[in-house]
Amino acid sequence: MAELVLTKRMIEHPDDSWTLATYELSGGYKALRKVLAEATPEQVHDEVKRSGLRGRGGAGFPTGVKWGFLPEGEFPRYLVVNGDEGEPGTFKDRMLIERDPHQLIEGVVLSAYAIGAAQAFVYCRGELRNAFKRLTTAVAEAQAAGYLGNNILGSGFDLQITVHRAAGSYVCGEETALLSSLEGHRGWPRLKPPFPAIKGLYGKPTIVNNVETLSNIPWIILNGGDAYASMGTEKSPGTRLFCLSGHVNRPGNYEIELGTTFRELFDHWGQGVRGGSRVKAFIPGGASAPWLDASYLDLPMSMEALDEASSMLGSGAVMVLDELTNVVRPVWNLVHFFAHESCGQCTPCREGTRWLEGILRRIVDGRGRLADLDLLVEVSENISPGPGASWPPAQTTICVLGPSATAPVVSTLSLFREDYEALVSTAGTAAGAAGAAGAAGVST
Amino acid sequence: MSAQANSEVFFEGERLDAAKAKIAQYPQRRSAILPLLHMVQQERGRVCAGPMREIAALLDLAPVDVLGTASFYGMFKVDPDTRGPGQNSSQNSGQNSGQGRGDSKHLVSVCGGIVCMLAGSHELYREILASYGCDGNEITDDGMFSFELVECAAACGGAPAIQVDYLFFERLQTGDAVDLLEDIRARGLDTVYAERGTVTAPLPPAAAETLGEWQR
Repeated sequence: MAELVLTKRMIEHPDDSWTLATYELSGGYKALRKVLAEATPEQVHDEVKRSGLRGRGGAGFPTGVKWGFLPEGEFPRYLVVNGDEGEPGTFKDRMLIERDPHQLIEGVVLSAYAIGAAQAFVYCRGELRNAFKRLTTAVAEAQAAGYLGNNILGSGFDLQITVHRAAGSYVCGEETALLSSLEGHRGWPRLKPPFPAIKGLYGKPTIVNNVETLSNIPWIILNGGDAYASMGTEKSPGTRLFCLSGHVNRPGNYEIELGTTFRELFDHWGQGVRGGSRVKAFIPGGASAPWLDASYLDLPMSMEALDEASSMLGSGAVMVLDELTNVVRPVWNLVHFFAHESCGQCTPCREGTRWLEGILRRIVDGRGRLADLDLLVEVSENISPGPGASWPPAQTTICVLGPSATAPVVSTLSLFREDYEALVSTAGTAAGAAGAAGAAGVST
Repeated sequence: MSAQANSEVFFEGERLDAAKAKIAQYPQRRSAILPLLHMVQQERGRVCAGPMREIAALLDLAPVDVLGTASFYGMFKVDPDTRGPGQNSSQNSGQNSGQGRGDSKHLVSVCGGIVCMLAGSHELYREILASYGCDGNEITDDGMFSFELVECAAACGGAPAIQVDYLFFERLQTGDAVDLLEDIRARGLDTVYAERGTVTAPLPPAAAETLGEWQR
């Protein structure tokens, strides 16, 4: 039977779930007390491996396996929490930090204990002022109560948590760019390998985990890895937060067992498409995910099912578009985003995203040509080589930002070509201007 | 930012103590660049040349290194005076341009991300600028508000969303935004935020419904 792992406390205590008092009253820091009194770091690591927990930031890599990549005997090592929530459509980490910062803190301490890190950094999105404030307050509370600092709860284990405020750059959510930024540089991604577990922050072994990933750890310790793995699917165990938004009646964050279908997410949790319309298109996992259409509604929301459908579950951001919407302007929006956020290191990304944005803007403005549709594919193939910029995208760039920008373009050209054709075929005419304005959501 | 303000020492007294405490939290000093830049912008509204030189000294870096780092980040409004003679002060469009809260009392950031755009945020933005007669300058004549259209602000569940000095106001209708800003002008941001702001991202539905579902 499934349970709420992440959101039970905030649902039951909507007015004060973030306070230390409420956290302790509702079972908070019990896992930490138990572990520091009677468990070894290896035992904590084993429990996380048994849970099968996969990263919740977007890549979905098994957490226990990642921890195992740390080279033996090499110290110091660092734990870095990725709180730079910037993937369009995603707003779950914000909620977790605002509503249950102590749950995250406890997860961080447990994980740092498991991997032998003496210092943890939380890289928190800069624009999330309230979340940053709640987190720094909670860290101070935890420190004062003895859950952080030296000799935690008399165990001999030391941990300092440093909350680091980011400053407005999406690419810093990519783990190597995050580390560059945390070191005090421009947020430039770095080549992998070497992976952060081998050579990370300040060149030392580093584990980077997402906010939601670590927020699961206290529950897993208290209830056991097997209990976590009994939920969800075999390859995607547990529950996760889905950020539902767009043309549904009730957008929001929902903690749902993995394996639930998109149809249930939209119809039950989202209470259906607004205005009595129907799903035309949806983005299953953030801006980098290939788009899907209504024929995929019964797809289970699991990593393996999305892999098979040549898309991704990613950050859990699910955006719904109704039948009244022409997809081209939303696609332009995403490509504009990637072009703006490109760090600029790699030519295919820096130049390619700008060209894609310019061509799409021309189409949205009513000045497109039919030949532009092939041009979009050609430019995409220059960013990400291979016929039709296939999925998963081939990568010639240092990070996947550039290749990700091709996903909305290529997938929608395939599924919704008529939307593009509607805009280019009437380009340069009065009907075209009206069509383009309609697509732009502006009445003529 | 005035030349006089630019020449006053920023990191002295309490601020210097805070800076040193912050630097001490990191194994390598350079990591403190972002926190120190935030300290400057919080008070001065933008990142100015003088304080950037002080940061360089505190962290044992070249001043141009601090500038080169700061200019990467969209939140930092880098003082155009830092660019030498003959250089274009507004090298980027919109977000990284010279204008920022330093030129106004409040910074209004309208989310232009895909979900907010679908909910009308781009039109909302144009409407706000038109209502204040901003004409592309993106700052009101009286210096009360400056405006920017920003990337996805992690408020998609409450689209369309704006922030005023990074405090969220979500589910705005067109027309509401100007009323909201005028309310802020009249009664102050903290008061209005306490009443009308969105403090947290949307909560999942009530326990009874959510936990009940799990019984199947």
